[in-house]
Amino acid sequence: MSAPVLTRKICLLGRLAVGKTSLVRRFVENVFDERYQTTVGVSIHTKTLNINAQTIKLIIWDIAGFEQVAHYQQYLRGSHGVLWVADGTEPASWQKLLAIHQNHQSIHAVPGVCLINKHDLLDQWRIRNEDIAHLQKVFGFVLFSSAKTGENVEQGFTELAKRLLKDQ
Amino acid sequence: MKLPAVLKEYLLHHRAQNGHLAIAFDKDTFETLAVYGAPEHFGFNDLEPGKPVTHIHPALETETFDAPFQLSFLNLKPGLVCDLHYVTDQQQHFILLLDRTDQFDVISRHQQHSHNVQLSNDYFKRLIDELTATQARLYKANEEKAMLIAMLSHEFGTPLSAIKGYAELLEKGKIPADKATSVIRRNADSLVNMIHNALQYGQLHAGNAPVNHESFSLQNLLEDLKSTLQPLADSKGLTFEILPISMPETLSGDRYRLRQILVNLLSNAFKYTACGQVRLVVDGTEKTNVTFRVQDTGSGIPADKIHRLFTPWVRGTQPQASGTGLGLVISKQLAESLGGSLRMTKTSKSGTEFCLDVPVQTNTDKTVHSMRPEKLKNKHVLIVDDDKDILYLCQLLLEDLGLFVVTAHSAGDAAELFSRRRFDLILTDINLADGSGESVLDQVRAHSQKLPVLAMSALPHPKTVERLLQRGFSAVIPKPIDEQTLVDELSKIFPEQR
Ligand SMILES: Nc1nc2c(ncn2[C@@H]2O[C@H](COP(=O)(O)OP(=O)(O)OP(=O)(O)O)[C@@H](O)[C@H]2O)c(=O)[nH]1
Ligand SMILES: [Mg+2]
Repeated sequence: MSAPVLTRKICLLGRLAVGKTSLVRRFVENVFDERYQTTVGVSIHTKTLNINAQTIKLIIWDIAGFEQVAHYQQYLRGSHGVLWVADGTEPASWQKLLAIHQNHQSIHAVPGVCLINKHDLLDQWRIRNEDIAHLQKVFGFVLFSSAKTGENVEQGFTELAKRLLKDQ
Repeated sequence: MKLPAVLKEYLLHHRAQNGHLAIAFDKDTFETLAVYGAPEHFGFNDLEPGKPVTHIHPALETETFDAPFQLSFLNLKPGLVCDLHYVTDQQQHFILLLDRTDQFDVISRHQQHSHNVQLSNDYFKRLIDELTATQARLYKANEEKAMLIAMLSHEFGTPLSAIKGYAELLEKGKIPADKATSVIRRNADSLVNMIHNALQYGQLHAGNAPVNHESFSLQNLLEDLKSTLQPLADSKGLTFEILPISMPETLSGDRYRLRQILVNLLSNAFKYTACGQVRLVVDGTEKTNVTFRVQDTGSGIPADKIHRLFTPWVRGTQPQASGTGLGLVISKQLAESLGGSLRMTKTSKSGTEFCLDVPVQTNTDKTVHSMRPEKLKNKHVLIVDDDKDILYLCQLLLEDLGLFVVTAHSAGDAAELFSRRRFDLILTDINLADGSGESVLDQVRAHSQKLPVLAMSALPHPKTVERLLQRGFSAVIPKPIDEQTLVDELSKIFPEQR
C-alpha cells in the first residue's frame, strides 16, 4: 500500500520583481516570460512531487511583493514552509528579505529555503560573499537560481519539500 | 434559496457588485450543505451538496477552519479575482466568494505603474552606485599617480644632484677624474635602477607584465651583482660578500626580475649601513626553492617604519622623506609575480636581514652558458644610433669585448655602409632621426636573411619587445646598455663553436 499524499502549503516571499512568479511558472509550467507583470494579492498553484517513495502535494502561494504593508499577513496563516526569494543583482532585495524575516516571528518555526535568483545575470551580480554567508545563517539553506535558465529551480522546491517531509 | 441572516448581515459590510457565492458546509466532514448565489459566475457548474467544499480551490486544501479568515484578491481563474471569506456564527459555516475583478484591475494597473517606477529607481540607484564607485577608484588611482610622481621626483633628485655636482667639480678640475666618475657612475646606476622600478611598478599595476621563462646561470647573475654593486660598497668602505650554499648551477625563471629584486635589496642594505658589511647568502639546499638572504650590519629599521615597509605611501601623508621609496614595494610585488615571497626576517640595532624565497626549477636540459667574451673577438659590428654619446658609449663597450666596431648616425649612413662592407652583427637604435630601426632591419634583410640585427630601445614595454621580435629582430636590448645583458644576448646569437 502506498503512503497517503501529504498536502503542504508553501509561500514565496520576497521583494517586488525578484522573480517569485517566474520561479513558480518555471517549476509548474516550465515556461519563462521576460515581461514583468506584477502579482496583486495571491496566485495559487499546485504541484505533486515524489520524494523517497513519499508523495507530497505542494500548494504554492505566490504572494505579491511585500510592498503592500500588512496586506500579506492573511496569506501566511497556516503555511508549512517558506521559499525566501532574493534577486542577486539588487541589494535592496536581500535587505528586504531579512526585514521580512525579522518582522514575522510566526514563520521562523517552519522550514525555509532561500533562493538568490537571476543568477543568469552574472555581469550584474552584486551579492557579496559576506551577504550570502549572512543569508545562509538566517535561512539555513541558500541556492543560486534562475527562473530564466531553470538553474536550481526544481532543486529549490524539492529541497523545501524534503524539509517539509522531515518536519511532519 | 433564502440567504441565512448571518450572511445577509456580513454582506452589508462587504459589498460585491459583480456577484457572490456562498457555500454552507459541515465543519467536520467539509461536505457542502447548501449553495447560495451564482455558482456558474465563478465557474462552479457542478457544485452540489455532498461534495467537499475544499475542492473549490487549492487554497482550502490545507485549511483547518479554526478561526474566521479572509483572503483578498485570490486569482481564481484567468480574468476572475475574488475575495474568499470564511464566515461562521459557530453553528453554521460558510465559504463566501466575492467577485473583485473590477477593483483588482484598477489596483493592478496602479501597482504595475508604481512597481515600474520603483524598478527604474532601483536601476538608477545601481547606476549611481556604480558611478560613485568608479569615481572613487579613479580618484584613488589619480591620487596614487600623484603620489608616485612626487615620490619619483624626490627619489630621482638625490642621484641627479650628485651627478650634476660632481660633473661641475670635474669640469672645474677641482676633483680627480677617477673619484668623480666613480660617483657619477654609481649615481647613474642608481637612477637607472629607479627607472626600472618605476616602470615595473607601472606595468605590474596595469597587469601587463609577462613573466619571462629562460635558463640562466646563477653564478653569472651573482658575478654581475658583485661587479655592479662593489663600487657602492667601496665608496662607503663596506665589505660585500656573496656566500653560496649548495647553489644550483642554472636556474629557469625570470632573470631580469630576480636581478631587480636583489639589486634593490642590496642597494638598500648599502644605503642604510654606515660601517661593517653586507652579505648575500644564497641557499639552494632545498631543491624546490632558492633562498636569498640579504644581511647588513646597519642600525636597523625604526619601529614606526616596519609596518609600512612594503607600502609605497600612507594616504594623506608625504611620501617617505628619505624612505626606501619604491624599491621594497616593487621587490615584494616582483617576488610574488615569480611565485615567491619577500620578508624582513630580522632587524635590530646591529643589523637587518631580508629573505627572498623563489621557487626555481633547476634546469636539466637546455642550458644557456654565458659566452666567454673571447668568442666575440674579431666579430665585425655596425652600431646605428643618432645620439652621439650613446653611440660612443656602445662603441667603447663593444670594443672592450674585442669586437671591431663601425658606427653610423642614421639609417641612411647605415645603408650606405653595409652595402659596401661585411658585418657579423648589426646593433640599431629603434628611434632614429631619419627613420626607425625597422627600416634598418628591412635594408639589412634586403641583403641578407641571416645577419643578426639587434634592436636597442630605452626601457621597452614588453608588448613592444614582443612586436619587435616578431618583426624579425634577433633580440631587444634595453638602454642604457648593461654589459652583462649584451654578452648574454650575444652568446645566444653566436653559439659556442666546437
Ligand atoms: N534574467 C532573469 N530575469 C528574471 C528571472 N526571474 C524573473 N525575472 C524577470 O524579473 C521580472 C520580475 O519577475 P516576476 O516573476 O514577475 O517577479 P515577482 O517577484 O513575482 O514580482 P511581484 O509579483 O511584483 O512581487 C520579470 O521581468 C521577469 O522576467 C531570472 O531568473 N533571470
Ligand atoms: Mg509575482
